[in-house]
Amino acid sequence: MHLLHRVTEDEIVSKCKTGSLKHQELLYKRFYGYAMGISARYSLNSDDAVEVVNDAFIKVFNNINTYNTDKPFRAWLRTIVVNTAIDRRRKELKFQANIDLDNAVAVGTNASAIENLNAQDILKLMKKLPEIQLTIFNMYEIDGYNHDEIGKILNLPASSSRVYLSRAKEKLRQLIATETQSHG
Amino acid sequence: MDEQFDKKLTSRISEVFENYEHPPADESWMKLREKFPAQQPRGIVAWMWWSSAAAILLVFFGVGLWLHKANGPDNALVVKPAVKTKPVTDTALQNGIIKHQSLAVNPPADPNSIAAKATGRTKHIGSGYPVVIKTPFAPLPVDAPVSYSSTRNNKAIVTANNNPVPVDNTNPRSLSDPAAGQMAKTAPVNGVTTPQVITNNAPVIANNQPVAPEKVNSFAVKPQPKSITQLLEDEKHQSAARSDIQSKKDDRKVSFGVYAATYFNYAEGSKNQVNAGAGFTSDIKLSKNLKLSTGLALAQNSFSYNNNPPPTNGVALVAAAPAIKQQSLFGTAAAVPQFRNYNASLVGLDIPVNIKYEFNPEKSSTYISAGLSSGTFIDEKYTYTYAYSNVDARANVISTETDNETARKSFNSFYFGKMLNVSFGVGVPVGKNNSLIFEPFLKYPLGGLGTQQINFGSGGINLKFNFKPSKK
Repeated sequence: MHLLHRVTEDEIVSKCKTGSLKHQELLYKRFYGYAMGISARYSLNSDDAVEVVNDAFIKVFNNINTYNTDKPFRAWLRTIVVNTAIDRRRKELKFQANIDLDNAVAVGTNASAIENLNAQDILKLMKKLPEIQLTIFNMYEIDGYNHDEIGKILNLPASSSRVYLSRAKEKLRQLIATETQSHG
Repeated sequence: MDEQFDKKLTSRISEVFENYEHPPADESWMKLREKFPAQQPRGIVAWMWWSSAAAILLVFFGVGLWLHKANGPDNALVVKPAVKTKPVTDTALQNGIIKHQSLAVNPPADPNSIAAKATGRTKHIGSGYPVVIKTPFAPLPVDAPVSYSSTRNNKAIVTANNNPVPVDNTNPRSLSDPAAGQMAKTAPVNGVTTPQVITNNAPVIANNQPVAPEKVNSFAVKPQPKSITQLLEDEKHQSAARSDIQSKKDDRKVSFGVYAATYFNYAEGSKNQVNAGAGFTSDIKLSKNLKLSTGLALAQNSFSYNNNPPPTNGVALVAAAPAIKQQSLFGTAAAVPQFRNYNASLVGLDIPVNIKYEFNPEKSSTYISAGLSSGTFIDEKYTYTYAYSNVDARANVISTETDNETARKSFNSFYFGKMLNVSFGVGVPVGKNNSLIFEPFLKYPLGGLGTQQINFGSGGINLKFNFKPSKK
């Protein structure tokens, strides 16, 4: 069987900087899954996730010349996808921030159930979170933002960010417990 | 306990989404292209703009050179003064004063020209009456080759034999003076034959008593008739001068040609494919033997690779076959894609710029030519054939299914000087200004061409029809 030649990431990026359409396509298809993994966590459905990914890649292609090749492309792409997803939901997030503060419920947890969660299970659980909690949970726990940064990006106090994160975790614990109980 | 749970959950989420894979991205890519189509048309528009500008410049340059050549030689050869001075010639024979003016107005442009030589001779022979002799000769060289006739020679010979007799009746200059011969040559251009000129001129001079009767006598005293050998030699010189002028007149700066080509395409790993093309050329003369040849050609190129793909740099191949790669990653576990065949078909626009060396441009159209080509591809079609082997272990059966993946591109790339052209041409004259040329050629790639950077060349034969535009 013939093995297709692999093209290095640097090669693709440098060709994209010259405006090569075929390398843009190659870049898109190589990092599409990775970008969808980020986008899906922030989005309500798959169409929305694809929209976020495409908007992010348009930003990538338009700004590829500003990308510093000394740093990993994945990290740069991740930042762009996260920011694009947040930008897309900014209005809804602001609205929900005012109505969702007192929604905490304490529940018991089952840590062993976590090991069995796959991507679809996690997405299913996360979609049950209010949008503001979902976003802050993703930003803080998965994408590494601190509360000050989150507060600036979402235009809310850092303390509120902490509260939303706390609520999100509690909600997830509750949802996982419920799922575990229902399956047996 | 909650903290431990949260850490575990976060860790699990990160792990899952770090390695997240999503079904093939083709559909999403198409959506992105709908949203983000700007860059491709911009590239094509820019390319079209630049190529149009280059074509216009080329046309202007060619036409400019052609017009320049069309105007230039006329001035150098003093054609216009010859026509203008014709009436002056007639008048000059009647009035010596006007002859002085005519001489002053129309000095020979080139000291080496026939006009200058003729004038020089008249100085020597017609020393007694320089005005009468010089004036008509300045414009003569151009007219001379046109009307040089055997009638004049016969007359001259006969007259020469009767040397002492015709002195009074016939202008002796017409016998002894080559310049007078020149004057005779002007006659046919003006619609009068040489003998008539001689006959007519004689009475004019004879009747023109107030001008200089003594000087007329001086002609009668100093006739130096030429021998037949001298006359023949003169004629030989005149004939050479005439053919030289004629060849200069025919020497167009630009010539054009149309051609059809049949050739083999060759590329490493591919079967040789027979293809055809057509185009036009324009040859711009640089020197006697050298021409700059350029033009535009439309050519089909096709390649077929069995079992092995073209040895490209890998980038193009992977870029062209993302769908296949995706299929292999997300296909069923039993389906293993195997490369079977790769076909490429490229319709190219080729702009050659060659230097042509003609061995003997005056006699034959045999030449060698070498140069570089630039261009683009109007249509590129790449077809990959893959076979999927499905293994059914229980039934011990292997079923094979083939799948074709086609990628098309248009005006996707422009190559500059990436093809070396070498050719040899042998021409057969067709008519006065045209020729039919058989031109074996070889095109050797200096780099990869097309979207997939295939190194390919071609070799074959051009059947070319060359023509020179008629001169107004």
